[in-house]
Amino acid sequence: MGKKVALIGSGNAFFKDEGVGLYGAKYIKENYTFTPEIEIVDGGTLGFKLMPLLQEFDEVIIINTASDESKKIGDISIKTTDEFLDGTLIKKTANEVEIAEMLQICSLSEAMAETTVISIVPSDIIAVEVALSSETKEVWNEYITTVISKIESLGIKVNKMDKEFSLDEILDIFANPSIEHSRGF
Amino acid sequence: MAKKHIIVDPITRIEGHLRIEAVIDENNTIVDAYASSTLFRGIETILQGRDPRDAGLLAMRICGVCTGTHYQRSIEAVEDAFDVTIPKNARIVRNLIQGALYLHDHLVHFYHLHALDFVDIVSALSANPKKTSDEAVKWANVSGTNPFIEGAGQFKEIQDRVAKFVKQGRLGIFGNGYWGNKHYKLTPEQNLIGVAHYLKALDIQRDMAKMQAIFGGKNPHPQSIVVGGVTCVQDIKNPARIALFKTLLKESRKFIKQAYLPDIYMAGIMYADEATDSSATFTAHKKGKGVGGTGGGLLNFLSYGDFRLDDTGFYKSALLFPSGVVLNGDLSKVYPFNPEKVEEDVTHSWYEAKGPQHPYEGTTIPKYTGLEKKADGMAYLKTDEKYSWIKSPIYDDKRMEVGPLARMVIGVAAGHELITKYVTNFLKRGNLPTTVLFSTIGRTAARAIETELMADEMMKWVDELAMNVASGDDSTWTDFDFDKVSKKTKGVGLAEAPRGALGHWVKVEDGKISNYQAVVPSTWNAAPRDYKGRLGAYEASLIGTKVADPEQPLEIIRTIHSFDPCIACAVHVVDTKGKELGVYKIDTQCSI
Repeated sequence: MGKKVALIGSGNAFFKDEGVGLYGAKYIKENYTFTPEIEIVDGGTLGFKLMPLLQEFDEVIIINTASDESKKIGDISIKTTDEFLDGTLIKKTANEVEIAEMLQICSLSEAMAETTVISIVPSDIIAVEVALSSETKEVWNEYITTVISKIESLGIKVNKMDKEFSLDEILDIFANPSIEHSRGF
Repeated sequence: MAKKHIIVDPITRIEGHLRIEAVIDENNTIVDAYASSTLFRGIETILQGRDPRDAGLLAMRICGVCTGTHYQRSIEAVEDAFDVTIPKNARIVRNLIQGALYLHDHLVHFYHLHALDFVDIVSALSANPKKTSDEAVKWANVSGTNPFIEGAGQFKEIQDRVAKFVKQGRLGIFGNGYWGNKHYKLTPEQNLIGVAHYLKALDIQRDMAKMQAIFGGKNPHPQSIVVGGVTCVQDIKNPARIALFKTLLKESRKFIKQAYLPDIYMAGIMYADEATDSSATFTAHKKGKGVGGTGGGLLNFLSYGDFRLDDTGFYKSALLFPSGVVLNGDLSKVYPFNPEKVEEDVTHSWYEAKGPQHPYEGTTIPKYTGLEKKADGMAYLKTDEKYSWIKSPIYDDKRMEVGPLARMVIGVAAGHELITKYVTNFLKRGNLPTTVLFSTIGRTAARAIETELMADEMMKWVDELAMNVASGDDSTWTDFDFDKVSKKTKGVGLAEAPRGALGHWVKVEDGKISNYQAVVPSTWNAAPRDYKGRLGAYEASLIGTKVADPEQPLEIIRTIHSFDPCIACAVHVVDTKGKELGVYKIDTQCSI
C-alpha cells in the first residue's frame, strides 16, 4: 500500500490573494492526474474542521498564504512538520491563525500526517474580489511548479493534461459556485 | 485612583480579529471594558446581485467556523422568500447535519479552545496517577456514570506522553499558557484528568466530523443542501449509512457522558465560588436582584429557536430549542421573539447610518475613523466615538447575549420540558444553585448540557429518518417555479448556530439578490456600545472580574472564550509596547 496523500487548498476565496491556495489546489485538480491518486481538498476557510484529514492521511500538503511582512511579495516558502511546530508559521489572517493552531493541536494526536505547508506572501488580501494581484500572478507558475515538485518527491507520478484549464476559468468557478456545484470540486 | 489599561489583542484579522481593552482599578478589578473587531468584512457586498440559488454556496465561505450553519441559513432565507416547505426527509437530514456540527463545535471548543483556561497543564505533570484515577471515578459518579478513562496505568501513560512533549519542546499551543497563575484552581490530579480528555477528544472529534460528512456530501464542506431540500437521496436510502451514523453517534455520546460532563462538574464545582460571587455582578444588575457572578454580564438572553420537529413549514413548527427572550436573569418570565424587533446600530461602529436599522433595510457604508495614539506610543480605541467594525445589534431596544446559555435559560424560563429536565438534572447532581448559570463557568456548563441533550435527541432523529424511508417516503426535494417566485420577495433564515442566534435576511428582485444582511452570533456578543452607551455582551461580562495578575489576563481570556468567539484560540496577549495597530485599507468594490 502506498502512502495516502492529500493536497489541501486553504484560504478565503473572496479576499483576492487570500484565495491563492484554493485557486492553486483547484488548478492542480483540473490540470493534472496522479498515480497513485491523491485527494485534493477544498479547505476553504476551515481550520479546526480539517483536523480529521491530518489524522487520516499519511502525507498532507497545505497550500495557503503567509502574510510575512519581512519577506517580499510573491516569496514562496516550504515548511515541514518539524519546522512549523516551533511556532514559526505566520499567523496574520484569520485562516493563517487557524491553520497554524490547528496543526499545533493536531500534533498532540497519536497519529498525524507528515505535513508540509507551502505558502506564498500575498500582495492584496483586503479587496473583496475573486482574483489575484498582478504580483501573485507573476509567480503563479512557479507556485504551481513548487507544489507539483513536492507531490513528485513523495513518489507520485504526475501527468499534465493536454488541454489547459486556465486560471481565469478557475476563478470563474469560485465566483459562480453553481458551476462548481454541478461538477463537484 | 490609579487605573490601568489591559489590552488583549490577537494578531488575526476578519472575524477573529478581536481586541479587548479593559480598565482595572487598584484592586485589579475590571471597571470598564471595550470589545472591538478591527477588520471590515464584506459579507453583504459579496451577495448582492447574485442568483439567490447560489447564496448558500457563497455564504458558506464567509467564515470557516460556522460554514455549514451559514450554508443552511442562507438557503433557508431563500426558501422562506420563495415560500417553499421542504419534505420531512430533508428536514431530518438537515437537523442531523446541524446536530453533528453542534457536537463537533462544542467538543472542540471546550477541550481544544477553552479547557486550558481552567486546566493547568504543567501542574498535571506532578499528579499522582493512582489518585487521578480515584478522582476520575469521583467526578464520573457525580455525573451518574463511570469514567471514560480509568486506572492509574492509563493516566501514567498520558502523563508520560505529555512530559515527553514538554521535553521535546513540542508543546505548541500550550506554550501560550499562564501556568501557575493562582486563578487556576484545579488540583494536579484534576488537571491530569483534563489533559487526558483533551488528548482523547482529538480522536472523538474525528468521529463527529465523519457524522457531518455522511449526509453532508463532500467533506469537509457540506454540499448536499439545496433550495427546496437535500440531494443525498442515495445516502438516506442506504441502511448501512444510517447504521454508521448511529455507531459514530453512540461513541460520541459515550465520551460526552463519561468525560465531558464529569469534567464540567469538576470545573463547575471548583469554580463555583467565583460563579456565584455577587461582588462581581455586572454593575447594571447590582441594584436589582444581585444575580450573576464573575462573567455573568448582561443577563438578557435571546434565542431565535432551532431544530424544527415537524413539517408545518418555517417559523410555525415545534422546535427543539424554543425562541424567546429572557431579561435581567429573571427566569420567571419569557417574552416571545418578534423578528421585526431586531435592529443594528452603528453609533460606535465604523459605519455610517441614520439610526438603528432593521436588517432588511440594512446598509453597510464604511466610515473608518481610526485609533488614538497616546503618549506611550500605543494606539488606543477611541472609545467615546467609533471603535469597532462590528455593528451593535439591538432587540426591542435592549442589548442581548446569544448562545447555548441563552438557549438553556430560555428553555427553562419557558417551561420547556426537555431542556428543564437536562438543566435541572445537571444542577441537582452537582448540588449547584441555578444562579451558577449566570457566570463564565455557567456559560461553559450550558454548552455541555446542550451537547448531551443534542446527542440524545439525535439518536431519535436517526430512527425517525430510517422509519420514514422504510415506509416508502423517499422524497427529498420540493419543486418550485423559480421565475414565478423570484420576481419580488424577501425572506429570512433564522436559527441557532452552535455559538448563538444567526440570521440571514435576503431581498430578491427579478431573480437577483437586491439586499443581503447577515447578523451573526459573534455580532450580538462581541458588539461595541450602542447609541445609548449600553455595553455589548462581552463588555458587560468582564465588568467586576478580579484579575490575579494584570500581566497575565487569564480571567479576561477565560470569559471571552466562554462565549466561543469565532477564533477562540486567537485571543491572546501580545506585548503591545510601541506597537501601533495597522490601518486597514477599505475597499467595498465587489467585482465577483
